[in-house]
Amino acid sequence: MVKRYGDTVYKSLTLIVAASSILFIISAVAVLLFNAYPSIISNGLGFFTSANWNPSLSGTVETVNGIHRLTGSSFGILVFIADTLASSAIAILLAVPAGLGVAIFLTEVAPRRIAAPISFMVEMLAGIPSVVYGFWGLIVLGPYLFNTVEPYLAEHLSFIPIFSGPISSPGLLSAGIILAIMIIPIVASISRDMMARTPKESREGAKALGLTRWEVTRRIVLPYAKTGIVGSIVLGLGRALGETMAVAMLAGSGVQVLPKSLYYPFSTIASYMVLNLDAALTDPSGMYLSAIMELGLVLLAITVTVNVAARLLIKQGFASSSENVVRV
Amino acid sequence: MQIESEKDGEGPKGSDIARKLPWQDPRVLFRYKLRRLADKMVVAVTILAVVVVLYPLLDILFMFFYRGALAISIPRLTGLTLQFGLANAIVGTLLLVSLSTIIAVPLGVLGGIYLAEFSAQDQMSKTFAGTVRFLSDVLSGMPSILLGYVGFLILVIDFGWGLSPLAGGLILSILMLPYVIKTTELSIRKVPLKLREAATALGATKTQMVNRMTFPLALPGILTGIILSMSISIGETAPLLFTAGFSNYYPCGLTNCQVGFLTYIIYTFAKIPTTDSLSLAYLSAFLLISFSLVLNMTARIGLRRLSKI
Amino acid sequence: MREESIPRNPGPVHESYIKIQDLNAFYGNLQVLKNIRLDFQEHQVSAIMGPSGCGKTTLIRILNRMNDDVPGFHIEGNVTIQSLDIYGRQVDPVLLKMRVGMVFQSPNPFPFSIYENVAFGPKIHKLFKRKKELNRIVKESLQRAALWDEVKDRLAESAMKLSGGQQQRLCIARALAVQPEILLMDEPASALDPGSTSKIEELIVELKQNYTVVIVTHNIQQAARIADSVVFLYKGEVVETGRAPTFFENPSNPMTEKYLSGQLSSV
Repeated sequence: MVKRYGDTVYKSLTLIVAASSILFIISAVAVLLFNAYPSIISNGLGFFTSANWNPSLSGTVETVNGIHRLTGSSFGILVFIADTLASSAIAILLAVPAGLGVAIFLTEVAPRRIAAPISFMVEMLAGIPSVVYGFWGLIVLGPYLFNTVEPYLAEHLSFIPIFSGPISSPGLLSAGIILAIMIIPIVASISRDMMARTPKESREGAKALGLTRWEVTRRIVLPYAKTGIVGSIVLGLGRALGETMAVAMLAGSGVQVLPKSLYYPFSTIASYMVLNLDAALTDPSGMYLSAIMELGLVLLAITVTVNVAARLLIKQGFASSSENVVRV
Repeated sequence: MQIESEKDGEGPKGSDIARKLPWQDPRVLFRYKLRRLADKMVVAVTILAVVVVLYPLLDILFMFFYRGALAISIPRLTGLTLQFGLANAIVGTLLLVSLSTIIAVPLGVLGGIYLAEFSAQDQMSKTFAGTVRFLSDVLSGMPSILLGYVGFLILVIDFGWGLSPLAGGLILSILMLPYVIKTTELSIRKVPLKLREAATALGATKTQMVNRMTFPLALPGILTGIILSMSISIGETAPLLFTAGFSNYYPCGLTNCQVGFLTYIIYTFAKIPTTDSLSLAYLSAFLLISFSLVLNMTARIGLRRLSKI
Repeated sequence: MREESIPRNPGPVHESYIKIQDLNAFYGNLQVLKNIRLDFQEHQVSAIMGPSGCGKTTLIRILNRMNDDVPGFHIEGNVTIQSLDIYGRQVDPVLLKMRVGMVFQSPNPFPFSIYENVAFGPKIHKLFKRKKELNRIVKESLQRAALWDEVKDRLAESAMKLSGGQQQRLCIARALAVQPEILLMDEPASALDPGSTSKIEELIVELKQNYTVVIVTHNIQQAARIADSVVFLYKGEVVETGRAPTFFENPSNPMTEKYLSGQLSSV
């Protein structure tokens, strides 16, 4: 009986600790909700439908329906949403072909002794801190784009609206490229793992029918790994949507207009949050901070949804790949 | 789906299979040439993708190692930021990572042991464990800036800790937690069932079995997870801005004392175009990349060795 | 009835259709086949037998260059089909597989419909001009694989729903649809139940009317039932070859005798 007692204590101890992660996340959401509450009530639906974000720090405190805010302040987050989506979209557009290309090279093209070190290097990309990416973007990529790529694009592709217009050094394009580099390891390594799970029997069956390597990849391997690949892309998207430091270092500060071209300075939700806490604390009514907290809730909702979807897809990809093994 | 039945031999050509053998058919051969060309082009495109992806990596590594190495000097490594040195930031980063590891490891390892060993006993444990797994996945996908805000409001303001190593370390530990939990659970699950059954058959209690059998066997994997999560926390910036603050001096205590860290140096000094500032940023980047790559490599090589077991 | 409408393969009748001369095969430094000299005749079933690990699967995979991509694998020697050196420069390993089809040990249908499985090869190689022709290729291939009657009403169903034996015949139909001359079979019945096995065996005997069949088997009774000529392989070397009945009744090599009496189960 004494033994059982010890087991119970041990189990309870680990259980309480395991519960701590639940506690952390619930309290984090509670803190965000509690602090966002004045903004949710005061700004209502206009928070999501307006593109006018103006904390109006020179205003005076007024009280409407028991909630304090500054006169003339307005909080609409459309610009942040648009910038977040735009920079992530650029990242995905660039990262998907590059990441899949790397994955195909690693599983289908390269011999093992070449694939192993390249795999290793692609994983190294994931180990570089995001602030270092931001630094590199600031001193290498940004100036290069500004001096070489953007003038060329603006001159030759200006008939396409997003390529026209005045260029600027920190802009959507540079942030999108940095984000792409950051999420390529995610797309490449998960896709590679999924593609490598294609049963040898299916590959050989197709090869024996006289398919070229690319045909085996396209007709057998890619369909087989499809769910997992989509999952990896969605996971990369989640990372891009929430990435903070690299984007904050490349975002031109303070410009809040809807982006019209690739070169526009911008603010994503995360970059705005990291750059403006100090400013928000100067609002004596607290509404500015509250609005930022509501912005944080929006970011939380977006990233959690995307991440959960990605994990479900990847899980399903793994599950179906173990099911699909031909049983006799 | 049905193929309409035709009588054999009724069609003008008779049996299609009996036609000229396909590998001699010029049409098929021509098409094959195109297919082979497509194959070669795809190979070229994938090689191009590899080059395009590795170029930034090599550029980043080369640039920061080169310029970082040029920036190495005794005063920069031993001086305070006040005198354009990094000593306080290096100490601060080590302090923050140590604190977060000290907090995250017991929580994560015990949580992982629960998920691996006790979660399948009854329906309620299963549901609970599922929730923990799901929420820790959610936690690992949560932008760290959000935790920075939460840490600021709760730890810094409400708890009155101020911008401090403890507030920063605690927030970092929450970021590390999901990784530690997950690798602990996976490593323990990898221990073969036979060994557990043998231990139970010898009359060991669950506690004895876990502590003396599965845990030691899983330890290399658990350590790998811990090292990997440390390499993630060493590169964090956003949540620390609002919880650790920054100081030009050495850390002075666990609470109510701002602390410097390397990522902050990069974030701030990268934008200041003077030689002294940039040198400091280069050196910080050099140190950070080195730390996190060494940790990453150690962890991955460890993982690889582990997966061979 | 069926075979009457189909002429035998064109070209002169060769003394030996597939000829292997002084073949050595290696995985890295490990030699798995030593000095193989073999002839396989046209429109016959040739069986390669031997205990597991003797190199028989390697040997059959050399015939359509399936092992080309295996890291470290290389051969020395000469393999010709109708006097064409298949490892020669002018031979494309992908095109070779149109001539030399292959069926594997465990059934490996693609996760498509039955129809799409058979139509897969012809579509890739574009062996038809009109949909009607494709339908006919699918139908004839299924007929030749003795599967048509069982699946003609459910061609759109997933191939994964078929039984193991049906799946294997589907794989045979899939290989036939590309219109090969030679069909390689690597223990095609080893994963099947006895009923399905005998169906496959009947089918193989019928297939030799139109194709040259090389089959790997470790089942002595099966080889005796279906083969015209037999090769006994042991530790990477040819121990004995012979015509079917004599080989089994009167093996000349004591090693073969030992194997046939079941005393050599593995290397």
